[in-house]
Order: sequence, then structure tokens, then C-alpha cells
Amino acid sequence: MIKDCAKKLDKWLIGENKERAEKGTLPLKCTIKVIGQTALIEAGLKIQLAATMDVDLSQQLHGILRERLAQLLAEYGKQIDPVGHEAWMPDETEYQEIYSGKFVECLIAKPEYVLISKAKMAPSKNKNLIIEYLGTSPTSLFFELATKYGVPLEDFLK
Amino acid sequence: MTKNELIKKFQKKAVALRKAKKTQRYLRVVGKLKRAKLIDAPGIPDYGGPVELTDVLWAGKIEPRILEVLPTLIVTRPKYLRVYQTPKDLKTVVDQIRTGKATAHFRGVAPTDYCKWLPENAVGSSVLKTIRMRPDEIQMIRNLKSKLGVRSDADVIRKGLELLNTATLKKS
Repeated sequence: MIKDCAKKLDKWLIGENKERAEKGTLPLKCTIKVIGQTALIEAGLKIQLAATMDVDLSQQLHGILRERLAQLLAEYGKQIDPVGHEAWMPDETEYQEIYSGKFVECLIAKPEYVLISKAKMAPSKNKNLIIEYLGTSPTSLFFELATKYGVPLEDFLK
Repeated sequence: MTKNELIKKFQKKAVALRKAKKTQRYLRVVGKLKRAKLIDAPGIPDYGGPVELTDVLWAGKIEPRILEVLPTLIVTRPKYLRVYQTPKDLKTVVDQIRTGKATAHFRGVAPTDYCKWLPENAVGSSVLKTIRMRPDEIQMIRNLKSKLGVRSDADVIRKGLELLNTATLKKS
């Protein structure tokens, strides 16, 4: 879904930037950095995930780019979370590229970073998600992050 | 506890969770919420059949995001669920939403989290108002209802009122 939106945004920007070039204006470009449940869904984890209809972006988009992306997401019933960029993510969060076009780049935060953010900031809401992840395909990176950020994994067994 | 021991314990719990998520009861609830465009769940088909409120509350224990959207579903699409008895905490939350003063938490979900799924016109109470209309006017409302994609005759009239109000304010 988010990849399709990035593609459509890029396609739209190709036309838009052509007009801007004719007027002598600088081209528009953007990087969409997705975090939260949408990033987990896009990462294709082996967990049956459910998400609400908001998309969290770690960097805010402004003006016409935000407006256009919001329109594209609305076609899927989705909306940009207005406070999504305020969500805590580890400083070292790594992102994985899912689309790279002429003017648009779309990245998703790697699952381990999203999950540690959820485990630290909203453990009760995400208890079952963490249990399923740890019971399915946990990576050593997740355990390292849990230790670094003081997330007591045993608490999720209670 | 070693890392491996911990993983084994989580594996046991995860098996139970996966099993619950594969039940028709869970799939129908999520499918229903997908149909209402309140939840996204890749791999689970939309479900148009009947779903009981008790099943939604049960599924909400597995996936708390279901509880986050439940008050909105009840307020905006009351016919989507079969409700035989509404738990007191849910009734409180729904009543508060209808009066535009949501302050109570709902099973761990803060008012800001469950209120954000409400459409703008859902907050605040509405009162009964009976008016007489000609059949052609009623037909006009019905036609507009389908063209505008709104849910009720009252929504058509609300939209018309907004336009009339804006136009009148511009003139004055």
C-alpha cells in the first residue's frame, strides 16, 4: 500500500516538477520514512497483524507533498497520523528502502526498532504483539535493543 | 532465565495466540472492522455477516487496536454489531462521545485514542426534529444520499445546511 502511494506520488511529481522547471522553480522531492504498525505490515513479518488506519511517519512532510500523500493514502482509507513523528524511536534506527523513484524515496523502519519502540513506550497495548514476535522469529538485534533501552522482556510473560 | 528459556516460554504463549487468531470468531470480528474501514489486516477478508459485541470484546483482548476503534463503530454504525447487552464501561464511553465529553478510559484506551476515529460530525448529541416534506423532496434527499455517499437522510440535510450557512454568511 505505502509503496504504491510512493510510486503514485513520484509519478505525480514528475509532471509537477516539469512545470516547475519551465517556471524556473526548484524541483520538489521527498523521503517518506514509515514507522509504526504500517512499517511492520510492509516488512512482511510472520505475524498476523492488524493496524488502525493511521500511518506514522518519522519525518514530517509539508505543504503540497503532505497534501498529495494524504490524498493517495485516503484512497486506501488511510490517513497520516498528525503526531506520528512524535513517536519515540531509537536514535540508531535503521531503515530499509522499499521504493526509490526519481523524486520520491520510501523507507520503512526495520521491525526490531519499531518493536522495541512499542515494547518500551506502550507495553500493555503491544503485549501480545511482542509475545508473538518473540515466539516466532526474534533476532539478536531485538534482544540487544531490549538490553540497551532497559525493556524487561520477562514482564511480557506475566 | 537464559535467552533460550525465555524464547521457549514465549513460543508457548505465541502458539495460543496464533491459534486464537485463526478462529472464525477472531477472523469475523477483524473482517467486520475491515469492512467498516476502521482496521487494516492484510490476509483477512472483509466480513459482511453478523458479529456479536461479546466477540468484539473478546477479540479486543487479543488485539487491543480493536478496542480502540470499537466506540467509533458503535456510535457511527450501530447496526454493524449484534448487541444483546452493553457493558457498563462501554455504555459510559459511548454516552460521553454522544454528548461530546469523552473523558473515561475504555479498557486501557485513552479518550484521545478512541476519539480520533470519529468523523467530525459524530461528536455532540443530536435531538429529534420532525418536519413534513413533500414526496418529491424526500426522493431528492434519497438521490442525494446515494450521490454524496453519506449514511443518512439527516447527513444530506446537514450538508445542505452547511452550504446554505456558508453562502448566507458570505452575503452578509
